[in-house]
Amino acid sequence: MKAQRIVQHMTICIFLLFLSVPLCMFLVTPEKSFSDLENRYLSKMPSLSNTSIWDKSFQKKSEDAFNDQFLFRDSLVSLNTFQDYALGYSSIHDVYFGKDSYLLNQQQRLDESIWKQNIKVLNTFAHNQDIPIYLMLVPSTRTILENKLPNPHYDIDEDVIVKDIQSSLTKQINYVDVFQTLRNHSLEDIYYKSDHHWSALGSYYGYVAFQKERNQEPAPLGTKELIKSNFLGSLYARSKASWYPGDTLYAYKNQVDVQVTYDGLQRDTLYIDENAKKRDAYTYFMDGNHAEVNVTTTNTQKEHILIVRDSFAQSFAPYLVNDVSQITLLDLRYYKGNISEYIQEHHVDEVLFLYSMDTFMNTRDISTLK
Amino acid sequence: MLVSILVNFQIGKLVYRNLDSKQKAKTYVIASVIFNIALLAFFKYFNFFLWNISSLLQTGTLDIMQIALPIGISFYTFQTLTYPIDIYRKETLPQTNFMNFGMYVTFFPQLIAGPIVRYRDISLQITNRTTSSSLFYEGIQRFICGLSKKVLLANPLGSIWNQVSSLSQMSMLTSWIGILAFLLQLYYDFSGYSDMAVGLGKMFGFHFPENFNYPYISKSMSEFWRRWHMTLGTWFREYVYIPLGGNRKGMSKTIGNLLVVWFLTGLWHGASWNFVLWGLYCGIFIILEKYGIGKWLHSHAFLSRLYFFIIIAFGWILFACEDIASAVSYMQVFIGFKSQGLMDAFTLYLWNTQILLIVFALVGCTPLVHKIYVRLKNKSYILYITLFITMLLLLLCTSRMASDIYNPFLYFRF
Repeated sequence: MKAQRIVQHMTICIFLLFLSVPLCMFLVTPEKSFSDLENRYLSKMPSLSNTSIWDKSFQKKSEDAFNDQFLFRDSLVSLNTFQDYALGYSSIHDVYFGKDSYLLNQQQRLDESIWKQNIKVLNTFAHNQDIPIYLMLVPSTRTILENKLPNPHYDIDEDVIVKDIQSSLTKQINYVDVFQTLRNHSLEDIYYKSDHHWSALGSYYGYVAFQKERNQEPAPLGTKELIKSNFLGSLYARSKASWYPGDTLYAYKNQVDVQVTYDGLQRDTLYIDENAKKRDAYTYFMDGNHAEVNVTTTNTQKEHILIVRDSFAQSFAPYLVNDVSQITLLDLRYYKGNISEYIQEHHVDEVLFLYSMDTFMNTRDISTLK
Repeated sequence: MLVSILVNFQIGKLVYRNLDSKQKAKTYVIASVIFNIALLAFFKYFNFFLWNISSLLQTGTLDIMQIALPIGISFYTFQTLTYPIDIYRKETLPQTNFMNFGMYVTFFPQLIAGPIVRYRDISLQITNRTTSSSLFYEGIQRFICGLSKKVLLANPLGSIWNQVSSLSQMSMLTSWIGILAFLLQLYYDFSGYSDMAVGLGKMFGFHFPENFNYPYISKSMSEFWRRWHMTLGTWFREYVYIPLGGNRKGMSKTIGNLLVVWFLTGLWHGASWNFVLWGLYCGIFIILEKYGIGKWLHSHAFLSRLYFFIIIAFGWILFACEDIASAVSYMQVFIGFKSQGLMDAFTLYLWNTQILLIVFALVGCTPLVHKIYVRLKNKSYILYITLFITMLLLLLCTSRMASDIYNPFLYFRF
């Protein structure tokens, strides 16, 4: 009976502590403003005012703040991921717990009208241009590294969709097939283990395929350089599968002088050293999201190439510096100008649409293309 | 809500004062019933009513009024209704303190999702109750049990159902898994809330009535309704079915009464025709069992459970789908018409990833765990194991809530 009372009191104490300690800690400890793992600013405690109480914004904001700030949040989120894993789920938040330390993107459902609309817009666009137009679609990790997928897995088949896409393109668009190219190299580290992007090596093979399509000789792979040894990328952040080890970020560089403007900001490098320290270290390549990036090389006699792109182009574009005089990267998520006019004004000689399959199948931003 | 409390409090007094003249007291009771039902009808059913009128008259679009549904209105209306009626029936005395009555109506643990507590069950506890550490301890255990049901079982089960119901085409077995997940989700969601309410009640020294008693092991629809949302069943029996005459006035009258009760039960669950149909669906089986197959069911333990599980699963489709049209098309897939074959890749994927969760949930529907607990109750180590499990569950729940991914509130329509 005595034991019973002790356990009862212990339970009550633990329960009450459980309720009160996080609240006290929340009020006492300094606020964390940015979650590197989630790559976003955390909600902060709002200041109390008469109006904010009445319009309920105080309550909403303080709840958000509490949710974002409370103790051990990151460990608890990881524990939740582990629960799912232990229950036999093969994915969380559309990230697979893959084999050999791979985390992979999952997509179960698809709104077909989106890519169909994208193709329609692209075809119309190509119709009105008299310069070479290329389209390169980069498959997701799971499509190429199928053997890294856990069991069970269930996804839409990118191979099937890309065949449909190919057959509905007009003749004016030169399709650059990197599916096969990447498959030929599937034993190499062409994708990151903890991030959804293709690696610098994978991008190089994409570059080789592109040069072939342009009937030009590709430059050799530059010197391998270690950028970050514990790279925990986007898929890691989304899943919080903390028992996955992450991987290593390399760059392959050729010594070339370039002038780069990132949305007006001038720099002389394609590689941003300070970004390597951040969680989203992929932005080492040509920084984060920008509407317009311009690269001017020392070869003045060559072409001006325009790449309409998503983030997959960032590790790809640096390889082109020996082959063109100017590279422009436009991101339709942020760039709202008229591309046809841009081509006219800046004497663009070639256009490459470079998208990951993931973006191309799911973004509506391409439909604004003119 | 404040209006509702004020009016009911006053009417309770009036009814009591006029208990000698039956006629007068009755008038007050009727007035209170009309008032309470009108309140509920306005907030919950007004738009449904408008919509039906407009589609009947084919006048095109009537302006739908934006009425915010007060939280828990279905529950507290039914609770307050018991107050004047029970005074009239001399089951209880009126509350003299307005604050005490207000507390009965607004008491937060059961406000949102039941159980529906009759005033007379709790009238003495309002003024005379004891809190003790062992009661507090029981309350914590009960609360964590309910929280785990909601967070660890109901929410993940709900995401299975969401995945399945958003498919445009599915195979027959996928639809089975989907409705199985929904059926389990509903039970864990609702009984989880009830457990939390009972647990919180205990922490404050209240003893609320139980609301669930392993409903899915029932052998018939009638038994199910004695085990599922028991306080609602009791309410309808006491305040609708028996006043209508119950089963004492011959078979045809009884069937009529039952249909009324089940029509209302359906409507209580939501202002939409599929809920009404679902209520009648339950009612029809109860009538069938009463006047036909009930005895047979009782003597065939396995077959009757199979029968029950099939009809309840089929019935939940009406409950789960947004409208009748989508329910009908889901039913067609469920029985094998218009389905994409028996099974497909997605079925296998669902099955392989969710099997463990579903097995846990199914085991939890039976008294098995409770039986084991009772058997071991006197062993000394069970205390520590319970402590460990309770704390583990609390931690797991916290981690689930911390990732705050998926926490819909299923019973908001009530």
